[in-house]
Amino acid sequence: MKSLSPHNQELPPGLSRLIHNVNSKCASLKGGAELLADSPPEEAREILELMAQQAETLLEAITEYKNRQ
Amino acid sequence: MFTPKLSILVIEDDLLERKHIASHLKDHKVKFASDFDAAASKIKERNFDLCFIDLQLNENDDDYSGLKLIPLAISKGIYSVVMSGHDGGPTVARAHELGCHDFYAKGDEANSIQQVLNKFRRQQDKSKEKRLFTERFITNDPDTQSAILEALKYAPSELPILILGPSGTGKTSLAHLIHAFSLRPGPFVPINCAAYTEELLEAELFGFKKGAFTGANENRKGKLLLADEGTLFLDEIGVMSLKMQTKLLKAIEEKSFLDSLRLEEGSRLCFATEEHYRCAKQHGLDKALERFMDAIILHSLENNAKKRTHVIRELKISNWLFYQSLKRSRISNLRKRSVKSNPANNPVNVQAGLLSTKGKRDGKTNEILIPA
Repeated sequence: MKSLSPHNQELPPGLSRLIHNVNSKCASLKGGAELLADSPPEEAREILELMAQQAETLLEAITEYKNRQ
Repeated sequence: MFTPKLSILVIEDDLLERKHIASHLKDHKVKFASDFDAAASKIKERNFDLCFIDLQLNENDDDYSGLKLIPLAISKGIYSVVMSGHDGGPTVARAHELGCHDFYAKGDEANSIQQVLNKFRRQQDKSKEKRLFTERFITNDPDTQSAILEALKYAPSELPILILGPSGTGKTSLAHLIHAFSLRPGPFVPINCAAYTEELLEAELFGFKKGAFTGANENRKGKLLLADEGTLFLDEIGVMSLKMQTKLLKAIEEKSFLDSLRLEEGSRLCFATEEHYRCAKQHGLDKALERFMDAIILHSLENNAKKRTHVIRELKISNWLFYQSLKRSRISNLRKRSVKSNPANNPVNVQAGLLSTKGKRDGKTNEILIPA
Protein backbone atom coordinates (compact mmCIF):
# COMPACT_ATOMS: atom_id res chain seq x y z
CA MET A 1 0.00 0.00 0.00
CA LYS A 2 1.36 3.38 -0.96
CA SER A 3 2.10 5.88 1.76
CA LEU A 4 2.39 9.62 1.65
CA SER A 5 4.85 11.91 3.34
CA PRO A 6 3.63 14.87 5.39
CA HIS A 7 4.06 16.86 2.19
CA ASN A 8 1.77 14.44 0.36
CA GLN A 9 4.58 13.02 -1.69
CA GLU A 10 4.32 9.35 -2.44
CA LEU A 11 6.84 7.39 -0.39
CA PRO A 12 8.84 4.45 -1.66
CA PRO A 13 7.72 1.18 0.01
CA GLY A 14 10.97 0.73 1.88
CA LEU A 15 10.77 4.16 3.46
CA SER A 16 7.09 3.71 4.27
CA ARG A 17 7.91 0.52 6.12
CA LEU A 18 10.78 2.17 7.96
CA ILE A 19 8.56 5.05 9.08
CA HIS A 20 5.95 2.62 10.29
CA ASN A 21 8.56 0.55 12.14
CA VAL A 22 10.07 3.60 13.77
CA ASN A 23 6.67 4.88 14.89
CA SER A 24 5.49 1.52 16.16
CA LYS A 25 8.70 0.46 17.86
CA CYS A 26 9.24 3.85 19.50
CA ALA A 27 5.68 3.82 20.76
CA SER A 28 6.25 0.36 22.13
CA LEU A 29 9.53 1.37 23.80
CA LYS A 30 7.89 4.40 25.30
CA GLY A 31 5.06 2.26 26.64
CA GLY A 32 7.51 -0.24 28.07
CA ALA A 33 9.41 2.49 29.88
CA GLU A 34 6.14 3.73 31.40
CA LEU A 35 5.33 0.24 32.62
CA LEU A 36 8.64 -0.05 34.48
CA ALA A 37 7.54 2.47 37.08
CA ASP A 38 4.85 0.20 38.54
CA SER A 39 6.29 -3.22 37.79
CA PRO A 40 7.68 -5.65 40.35
CA PRO A 41 11.29 -6.75 39.69
CA GLU A 42 10.50 -9.92 37.78
CA GLU A 43 8.00 -8.17 35.54
CA ALA A 44 10.45 -5.31 35.04
CA ARG A 45 13.14 -7.73 33.86
CA GLU A 46 10.76 -9.16 31.29
CA ILE A 47 9.80 -5.69 30.09
CA LEU A 48 13.44 -4.63 29.76
CA GLU A 49 14.17 -7.78 27.78
CA LEU A 50 11.31 -7.01 25.42
CA MET A 51 12.48 -3.41 25.11
CA ALA A 52 15.95 -4.57 24.19
CA GLN A 53 14.50 -6.86 21.50
CA GLN A 54 12.40 -4.00 20.13
CA ALA A 55 15.43 -1.73 20.01
CA GLU A 56 17.41 -4.40 18.16
CA THR A 57 14.61 -4.89 15.65
CA LEU A 58 14.47 -1.16 15.08
CA LEU A 59 18.22 -1.01 14.61
CA GLU A 60 17.99 -3.85 12.06
CA ALA A 61 15.26 -2.01 10.15
CA ILE A 62 17.29 1.19 10.06
CA THR A 63 20.43 -0.67 9.02
CA GLU A 64 18.55 -2.52 6.27
CA TYR A 65 17.16 0.71 4.86
CA LYS A 66 20.55 2.38 5.14
CA ASN A 67 22.22 -0.44 3.25
CA ARG A 68 19.74 -0.07 0.40
CA GLN A 69 20.60 3.58 -0.12
CA MET B 1 -20.54 6.84 39.42
CA PHE B 2 -20.77 3.17 38.40
CA THR B 3 -19.15 2.47 35.03
CA PRO B 4 -19.79 -1.01 33.69
CA LYS B 5 -16.85 -3.13 32.51
CA LEU B 6 -16.46 -3.38 28.78
CA SER B 7 -15.53 -6.54 26.92
CA ILE B 8 -12.54 -5.65 24.74
CA LEU B 9 -10.44 -7.52 22.19
CA VAL B 10 -6.94 -6.21 21.50
CA ILE B 11 -5.33 -7.44 18.27
CA GLU B 12 -1.63 -6.63 18.48
CA ASP B 13 1.40 -8.70 17.53
CA ASP B 14 3.87 -6.72 19.66
CA LEU B 15 4.00 -8.26 23.14
CA LEU B 16 5.40 -5.15 24.76
CA GLU B 17 2.64 -3.06 23.22
CA ARG B 18 0.04 -5.58 24.39
CA LYS B 19 1.29 -5.19 27.96
CA HIS B 20 1.22 -1.43 27.61
CA ILE B 21 -2.35 -1.39 26.32
CA ALA B 22 -3.43 -3.85 29.02
CA SER B 23 -2.17 -1.44 31.66
CA HIS B 24 -4.63 1.18 30.38
CA LEU B 25 -7.57 -1.22 30.24
CA LYS B 26 -7.31 -2.67 33.74
CA ASP B 27 -10.91 -1.85 34.59
CA HIS B 28 -12.28 -3.94 31.74
CA LYS B 29 -12.45 -7.54 30.55
CA VAL B 30 -9.73 -7.79 27.94
CA LYS B 31 -8.73 -10.58 25.56
CA PHE B 32 -5.73 -10.54 23.24
CA ALA B 33 -4.89 -11.92 19.82
CA SER B 34 -1.45 -11.65 18.28
CA ASP B 35 -2.14 -12.72 14.69
CA PHE B 36 -4.83 -12.62 12.06
CA ASP B 37 -6.16 -16.17 12.49
CA ALA B 38 -6.41 -15.94 16.28
CA ALA B 39 -8.12 -12.57 15.98
CA ALA B 40 -10.65 -13.78 13.40
CA SER B 41 -11.44 -16.79 15.55
CA LYS B 42 -12.01 -14.71 18.68
CA ILE B 43 -14.19 -12.21 16.84
CA LYS B 44 -16.40 -15.01 15.55
CA GLU B 45 -16.66 -16.84 18.87
CA ARG B 46 -17.32 -14.10 21.37
CA ASN B 47 -19.23 -10.89 21.82
CA PHE B 48 -17.00 -7.91 22.36
CA ASP B 49 -17.98 -4.31 22.90
CA LEU B 50 -14.80 -2.94 21.34
CA CYS B 51 -11.93 -4.22 19.28
CA PHE B 52 -8.53 -2.50 19.03
CA ILE B 53 -6.90 -3.53 15.76
CA ASP B 54 -3.25 -3.11 14.82
CA LEU B 55 -3.10 -2.93 11.04
CA GLN B 56 0.29 -4.62 10.62
CA LEU B 57 0.22 -7.95 12.40
CA ASN B 58 3.83 -9.01 11.75
CA GLU B 59 7.09 -7.53 10.50
CA ASN B 60 6.45 -8.47 6.87
CA ASP B 61 2.78 -7.61 6.77
CA ASP B 62 2.95 -5.12 3.93
CA ASP B 63 -0.68 -5.79 3.10
CA TYR B 64 -1.82 -4.56 6.50
CA SER B 65 -3.87 -7.69 7.21
CA GLY B 66 -5.52 -5.94 10.12
CA LEU B 67 -7.68 -4.13 7.58
CA LYS B 68 -9.46 -7.40 6.77
CA LEU B 69 -10.53 -7.72 10.40
CA ILE B 70 -12.46 -4.46 10.34
CA PRO B 71 -15.48 -5.65 8.32
CA LEU B 72 -15.48 -8.91 10.26
CA ALA B 73 -15.68 -7.06 13.57
CA ILE B 74 -18.31 -4.66 12.29
CA SER B 75 -20.46 -7.55 11.07
CA LYS B 76 -20.55 -8.74 14.69
CA GLY B 77 -21.56 -5.31 15.93
CA ILE B 78 -18.18 -4.62 17.50
CA TYR B 79 -16.97 -1.04 17.82
CA SER B 80 -13.72 -1.13 15.84
CA VAL B 81 -10.73 1.00 16.70
CA VAL B 82 -7.65 1.02 14.49
CA MET B 83 -4.20 1.56 15.96
CA SER B 84 -1.38 2.42 13.64
CA GLY B 85 2.21 3.50 13.56
CA HIS B 86 1.13 5.90 10.84
CA ASP B 87 -0.75 8.96 11.98
CA GLY B 88 -2.65 9.25 8.73
CA GLY B 89 -2.30 8.50 5.07
CA PRO B 90 -3.92 6.00 2.73
CA THR B 91 -3.84 3.10 5.19
CA VAL B 92 -5.86 4.97 7.73
CA ALA B 93 -8.15 6.30 5.03
CA ARG B 94 -8.75 2.74 3.88
CA ALA B 95 -9.57 1.71 7.43
CA HIS B 96 -12.21 4.41 7.59
CA GLU B 97 -13.60 3.33 4.21
CA LEU B 98 -14.00 -0.15 5.62
CA GLY B 99 -16.06 1.30 8.42
CA CYS B 100 -13.79 1.52 11.44
CA HIS B 101 -15.35 3.65 14.15
CA ASP B 102 -12.21 5.26 15.50
CA PHE B 103 -8.47 5.50 15.05
CA TYR B 104 -5.43 6.55 16.99
CA ALA B 105 -1.76 6.85 16.19
CA LYS B 106 0.48 4.89 18.53
CA GLY B 107 2.64 6.80 20.94
CA ASP B 108 0.19 8.32 23.45
CA GLU B 109 -1.83 5.32 24.55
CA ALA B 110 -2.89 6.77 27.89
CA ASN B 111 -4.78 9.66 26.33
CA SER B 112 -5.75 7.94 23.10
CA ILE B 113 -7.35 4.92 24.77
CA GLN B 114 -9.26 7.07 27.24
CA GLN B 115 -10.59 9.25 24.42
CA VAL B 116 -11.64 6.16 22.51
CA LEU B 117 -13.52 4.78 25.50
CA ASN B 118 -15.21 8.12 26.19
CA LYS B 119 -16.34 8.40 22.60
CA PHE B 120 -17.61 4.83 22.64
CA ARG B 121 -19.65 5.49 25.77
CA ARG B 122 -21.14 8.65 24.29
CA GLN B 123 -22.19 6.66 21.24
CA GLN B 124 -23.72 3.99 23.43
CA ASP B 125 -25.66 6.61 25.38
CA LYS B 126 -26.99 8.07 22.14
CA SER B 127 -28.24 4.73 20.86
CA LYS B 128 -29.85 4.03 24.23
CA GLU B 129 -31.64 7.36 23.91
CA LYS B 130 -32.95 6.40 20.49
CA ARG B 131 -34.25 3.09 21.84
CA LEU B 132 -35.72 4.92 24.83
CA PHE B 133 -38.12 6.86 22.65
CA THR B 134 -38.99 3.99 20.34
CA GLU B 135 -39.42 1.27 22.92
CA ARG B 136 -39.81 2.59 26.45
CA PHE B 137 -41.51 6.00 26.24
CA ILE B 138 -42.75 6.37 22.70
CA THR B 139 -42.72 9.94 21.51
CA ASN B 140 -41.44 11.82 18.50
CA ASP B 141 -41.82 15.23 20.08
CA PRO B 142 -38.30 16.66 20.54
CA ASP B 143 -39.35 18.89 23.43
CA THR B 144 -40.83 15.95 25.33
CA GLN B 145 -37.75 13.86 24.60
CA SER B 146 -35.48 16.63 25.81
CA ALA B 147 -37.51 17.08 28.97
CA ILE B 148 -37.58 13.33 29.70
CA LEU B 149 -33.82 13.14 29.34
CA GLU B 150 -33.52 16.04 31.74
CA ALA B 151 -35.85 14.28 34.17
CA LEU B 152 -33.86 11.07 33.99
CA LYS B 153 -30.87 12.94 35.37
CA TYR B 154 -32.75 12.83 38.65
CA ALA B 155 -33.27 9.08 38.43
CA PRO B 156 -30.11 8.00 40.28
CA SER B 157 -30.72 10.45 43.11
CA GLU B 158 -32.80 9.71 46.21
CA LEU B 159 -35.06 12.69 45.63
CA PRO B 160 -38.78 12.07 45.56
CA ILE B 161 -40.48 13.17 42.39
CA LEU B 162 -43.95 14.47 41.76
CA ILE B 163 -45.32 14.10 38.26
CA LEU B 164 -48.22 16.32 37.28
CA GLY B 165 -50.32 15.83 34.22
CA PRO B 166 -53.70 14.93 32.79
CA SER B 167 -54.79 11.36 32.36
CA GLY B 168 -53.08 9.52 29.51
CA THR B 169 -49.93 11.62 29.35
CA GLY B 170 -47.69 8.77 30.46
CA LYS B 171 -47.18 9.51 34.16
CA THR B 172 -46.98 5.83 35.06
CA SER B 173 -44.66 5.09 32.13
CA LEU B 174 -42.41 7.89 33.22
CA ALA B 175 -42.40 6.67 36.80
CA HIS B 176 -41.40 3.21 35.52
CA LEU B 177 -38.63 4.75 33.49
CA ILE B 178 -37.28 6.73 36.40
CA HIS B 179 -37.23 3.58 38.49
CA ALA B 180 -35.42 1.65 35.74
CA PHE B 181 -32.79 4.33 35.39
CA SER B 182 -32.37 4.62 39.13
CA LEU B 183 -30.70 1.16 39.24
CA ARG B 184 -32.33 0.60 42.60
CA PRO B 185 -32.21 -3.09 43.52
CA GLY B 186 -35.78 -3.25 44.85
CA PRO B 187 -39.01 -3.46 42.83
CA PHE B 188 -41.27 -0.82 41.33
CA VAL B 189 -44.41 -0.89 43.46
CA PRO B 190 -47.38 1.15 42.24
CA ILE B 191 -50.49 2.04 44.16
CA ASN B 192 -53.46 4.07 42.99
CA CYS B 193 -54.54 6.11 46.00
CA ALA B 194 -57.90 6.92 44.44
CA ALA B 195 -58.86 3.24 44.40
CA TYR B 196 -59.04 2.95 48.19
CA THR B 197 -60.82 4.46 51.13
CA GLU B 198 -58.50 6.03 53.68
CA GLU B 199 -58.59 3.03 55.97
CA LEU B 200 -57.89 0.58 53.19
CA LEU B 201 -55.19 2.82 51.77
CA GLU B 202 -53.47 2.82 55.13
CA ALA B 203 -53.68 -0.97 55.22
CA GLU B 204 -52.29 -1.22 51.69
CA LEU B 205 -49.41 1.09 52.48
CA PHE B 206 -48.42 -0.17 55.89
CA GLY B 207 -49.75 -3.71 55.88
CA PHE B 208 -51.98 -5.35 58.41
CA LYS B 209 -52.23 -8.33 60.68
CA LYS B 210 -54.78 -11.05 60.40
CA GLY B 211 -58.02 -10.04 62.05
CA ALA B 212 -57.15 -6.33 62.19
CA PHE B 213 -60.41 -5.57 60.41
CA THR B 214 -63.20 -7.38 58.68
CA GLY B 215 -61.78 -9.14 55.67
CA ALA B 216 -58.22 -9.27 57.02
CA ASN B 217 -57.87 -13.01 56.71
CA GLU B 218 -54.10 -13.07 56.71
CA ASN B 219 -51.04 -11.03 57.60
CA ARG B 220 -50.02 -8.85 54.71
CA LYS B 221 -46.94 -6.74 54.08
CA GLY B 222 -47.65 -3.20 53.08
CA LYS B 223 -46.51 -1.67 49.82
CA LEU B 224 -44.09 0.49 51.76
CA LEU B 225 -42.23 -2.58 52.91
CA LEU B 226 -42.53 -4.30 49.56
CA ALA B 227 -40.95 -1.28 47.91
CA ASP B 228 -38.00 -1.22 50.28
CA GLU B 229 -34.85 -0.43 48.26
CA GLY B 230 -37.10 0.10 45.25
CA THR B 231 -39.57 2.76 44.15
CA LEU B 232 -42.99 3.33 45.63
CA PHE B 233 -45.20 5.01 43.04
CA LEU B 234 -48.26 6.72 44.47
CA ASP B 235 -50.66 7.62 41.71
CA GLU B 236 -53.42 10.13 42.41
CA ILE B 237 -51.55 11.41 45.46
CA GLY B 238 -53.83 14.44 45.45
CA VAL B 239 -56.68 12.42 46.97
CA MET B 240 -54.61 11.37 49.97
CA SER B 241 -55.68 13.08 53.19
CA LEU B 242 -53.33 15.33 55.13
CA LYS B 243 -53.33 12.84 57.96
CA MET B 244 -52.24 10.01 55.67
CA GLN B 245 -49.60 12.17 53.98
CA THR B 246 -48.14 12.99 57.37
CA LYS B 247 -48.10 9.36 58.41
CA LEU B 248 -46.49 8.28 55.18
CA LEU B 249 -43.81 10.91 55.23
CA LYS B 250 -43.01 10.18 58.85
CA ALA B 251 -42.56 6.52 58.01
CA ILE B 252 -40.26 7.40 55.12
CA GLU B 253 -38.28 9.87 57.15
CA GLU B 254 -37.78 7.56 60.10
CA LYS B 255 -37.59 4.38 57.99
CA SER B 256 -39.91 2.66 60.42
CA PHE B 257 -43.60 2.28 61.06
CA LEU B 258 -46.09 0.28 63.07
CA ASP B 259 -43.66 0.63 66.00
CA SER B 260 -41.81 -2.41 64.87
CA LEU B 261 -41.13 -2.68 61.19
CA ARG B 262 -37.98 -1.06 59.89
CA LEU B 263 -37.00 -0.43 56.35
CA GLU B 264 -33.52 -1.39 55.20
CA GLU B 265 -32.83 1.51 52.95
CA GLY B 266 -36.27 2.95 52.42
CA SER B 267 -38.03 3.35 49.15
CA ARG B 268 -37.69 6.14 46.70
CA LEU B 269 -40.97 7.97 46.33
CA CYS B 270 -42.57 8.90 43.09
CA PHE B 271 -45.94 10.65 43.12
CA ALA B 272 -48.35 11.50 40.37
CA THR B 273 -51.54 13.45 40.23
CA GLU B 274 -53.77 14.95 37.62
CA GLU B 275 -54.09 18.05 39.72
CA HIS B 276 -52.50 21.15 38.26
CA TYR B 277 -49.85 22.70 40.45
CA ARG B 278 -52.15 25.45 41.68
CA CYS B 279 -54.87 22.94 42.46
CA ALA B 280 -52.33 20.73 44.22
CA LYS B 281 -51.60 23.58 46.57
CA GLN B 282 -55.27 24.15 47.19
CA HIS B 283 -55.74 20.51 48.04
CA GLY B 284 -53.21 20.81 50.76
CA LEU B 285 -50.63 18.63 49.14
CA ASP B 286 -48.09 21.38 49.28
CA LYS B 287 -48.86 22.26 52.88
CA ALA B 288 -48.53 18.71 54.10
CA LEU B 289 -45.18 18.20 52.54
CA GLU B 290 -43.92 21.57 53.69
CA ARG B 291 -44.31 20.33 57.24
CA PHE B 292 -41.51 17.89 56.62
CA MET B 293 -39.40 19.22 53.88
CA ASP B 294 -38.48 22.10 51.76
CA ALA B 295 -40.34 21.59 48.54
CA ILE B 296 -38.67 22.25 45.27
CA ILE B 297 -41.25 22.62 42.60
CA LEU B 298 -40.49 23.05 38.99
CA HIS B 299 -43.40 24.54 37.16
CA SER B 300 -45.31 22.02 35.14
CA LEU B 301 -46.82 23.10 31.87
CA GLU B 302 -49.53 21.67 29.78
CA ASN B 303 -48.26 20.19 26.56
CA ASN B 304 -47.41 23.26 24.53
CA ALA B 305 -45.83 22.88 21.16
CA LYS B 306 -44.71 26.51 21.19
CA LYS B 307 -42.29 25.92 24.00
CA ARG B 308 -38.92 25.12 22.55
CA THR B 309 -36.60 25.85 25.42
CA HIS B 310 -35.09 23.05 27.41
CA VAL B 311 -36.96 23.93 30.55
CA ILE B 312 -37.61 20.91 32.69
CA ARG B 313 -41.10 22.16 33.50
CA GLU B 314 -42.25 20.95 30.12
CA LEU B 315 -42.32 17.44 31.41
CA LYS B 316 -44.86 18.19 34.12
CA ILE B 317 -42.40 17.14 36.77
CA SER B 318 -42.06 18.62 40.21
CA ASN B 319 -39.24 17.87 42.63
CA TRP B 320 -39.74 17.70 46.33
CA LEU B 321 -36.88 17.56 48.78
CA PHE B 322 -37.01 15.88 52.13
CA TYR B 323 -35.30 17.40 55.16
CA GLN B 324 -33.59 14.12 55.70
CA SER B 325 -31.47 14.77 52.68
CA LEU B 326 -30.70 18.40 53.44
CA LYS B 327 -29.16 20.40 56.18
CA ARG B 328 -31.05 23.50 57.24
CA SER B 329 -28.31 25.82 56.01
CA ARG B 330 -28.60 24.39 52.54
CA ILE B 331 -32.35 24.80 52.66
CA SER B 332 -32.08 28.48 53.52
CA ASN B 333 -29.59 28.91 50.69
CA LEU B 334 -32.03 27.24 48.38
CA ARG B 335 -34.79 29.58 49.42
CA LYS B 336 -32.58 32.54 48.60
CA ARG B 337 -32.01 31.15 45.17
CA SER B 338 -35.69 30.67 44.48
CA VAL B 339 -36.76 32.60 41.42
CA LYS B 340 -40.05 33.37 39.81
CA SER B 341 -41.12 32.79 36.29
CA ASN B 342 -43.13 35.11 34.11
CA PRO B 343 -46.03 36.17 36.33
CA ALA B 344 -48.36 35.68 33.39
CA ASN B 345 -47.80 31.94 33.88
CA ASN B 346 -48.00 30.01 37.09
CA PRO B 347 -45.35 30.95 39.64
CA VAL B 348 -42.18 28.93 39.50
CA ASN B 349 -39.81 28.20 42.32
CA VAL B 350 -36.69 26.95 40.68
CA GLN B 351 -34.12 25.65 43.08
CA ALA B 352 -32.51 23.22 40.76
CA GLY B 353 -29.02 24.21 41.78
CA LEU B 354 -29.04 21.56 44.45
CA LEU B 355 -29.26 19.02 41.70
CA SER B 356 -26.32 20.52 39.88
CA THR B 357 -28.28 22.06 37.06
CA LYS B 358 -27.16 25.52 36.17
CA GLY B 359 -30.21 27.51 35.28
CA LYS B 360 -30.16 30.89 33.71
CA ARG B 361 -32.96 33.32 33.11
CA ASP B 362 -34.27 33.98 29.64
CA GLY B 363 -34.28 37.74 29.18
CA LYS B 364 -37.46 37.76 27.12
CA THR B 365 -39.74 35.38 28.92
CA ASN B 366 -38.19 35.67 32.38
CA GLU B 367 -38.31 31.91 32.58
CA ILE B 368 -35.63 29.68 33.95
CA LEU B 369 -33.76 27.70 31.36
CA ILE B 370 -32.11 24.48 32.40
CA PRO B 371 -29.42 23.28 30.00
CA ALA B 372 -30.33 20.01 28.35
